[in-house]
Amino acid sequence: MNTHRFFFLPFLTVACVSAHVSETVSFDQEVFFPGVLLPSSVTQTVEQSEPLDVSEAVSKLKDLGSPSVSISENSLSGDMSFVSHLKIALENGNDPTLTLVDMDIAPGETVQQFPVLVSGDQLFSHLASPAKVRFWITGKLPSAGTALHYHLSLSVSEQINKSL
Amino acid sequence: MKMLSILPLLAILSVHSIASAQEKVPFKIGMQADLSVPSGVALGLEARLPHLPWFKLGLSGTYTLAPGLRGNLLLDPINFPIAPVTNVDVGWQSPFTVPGIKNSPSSTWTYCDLQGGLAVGSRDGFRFMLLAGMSYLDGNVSGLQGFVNTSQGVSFGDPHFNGWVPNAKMSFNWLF
Repeated sequence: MNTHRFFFLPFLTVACVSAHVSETVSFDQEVFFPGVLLPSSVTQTVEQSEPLDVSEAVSKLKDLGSPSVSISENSLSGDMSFVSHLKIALENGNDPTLTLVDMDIAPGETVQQFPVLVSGDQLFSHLASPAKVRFWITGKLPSAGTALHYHLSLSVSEQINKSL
Repeated sequence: MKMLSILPLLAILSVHSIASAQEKVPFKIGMQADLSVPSGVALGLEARLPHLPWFKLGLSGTYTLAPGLRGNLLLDPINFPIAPVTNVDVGWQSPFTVPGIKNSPSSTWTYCDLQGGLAVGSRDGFRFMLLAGMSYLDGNVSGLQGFVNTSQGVSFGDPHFNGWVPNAKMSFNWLF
């Protein structure tokens, strides 16, 4: 190493930006499941989907560094007394469908926090393209239809290291 | 042994010189103006406390894209026309948006600058200083919602950031 390079090395080492950024991204959506034609005594499955596009934000975060994502909340609220099984999945058209929730529901629940079957980073990777959240509910569904409120909250943190 | 016998004498002399210095150094007030990153342009007052000729306290108003406030402690230990100095700033930047960016989010932070550099001029009069170091920033960004296109139902919290960035300062100080 040349002498002058050695002299400037400490200055080059400190002449960089080192920052930590933390952020919360939430998705709140009223999901309306239309009524069914069959009698309510019959167990049926209905499906609904809602768009979830945060691709621009994901792209900006990826430009800065490698974000780390954790799912802080994943819940559905409303009258779920008739729901016996729930499945929630994420589709973006490019990658295989990502199943977030696939579980039986205890009768009489109004708010449910669901453990998510995938990691936050897997979910974040899927959100790099415009996506859809698809819901399937199974149960003795009311003929008038029903609305449930879906809430997904992600904690994003990122370490940014840039040399000047 | 000879060295040991000299020690009490040295101690007496140093106490005497400190006492003399304390008598000779009155309180002084002055002005400071500087251009720096991340504070921007700053203008304020500085004060040299009595008995402490090498310490100067300052308080400045700053302006980058919005006003801010900054306090500083300058250590100027050598009374010589060219001398090394160190400085610590603690400041606050009020929220600002970036001009020219549509729906720009706003940002605010507090910071602490740790700097070292060179001073030229009289320690008791006019000093020109060039300083550089690192700044610790802690702040947040708000208003991301309108800045990033998303589908309906998506909301962003205010991102929080903290970290180290390089700083540099060109400063003019006058003690009256």
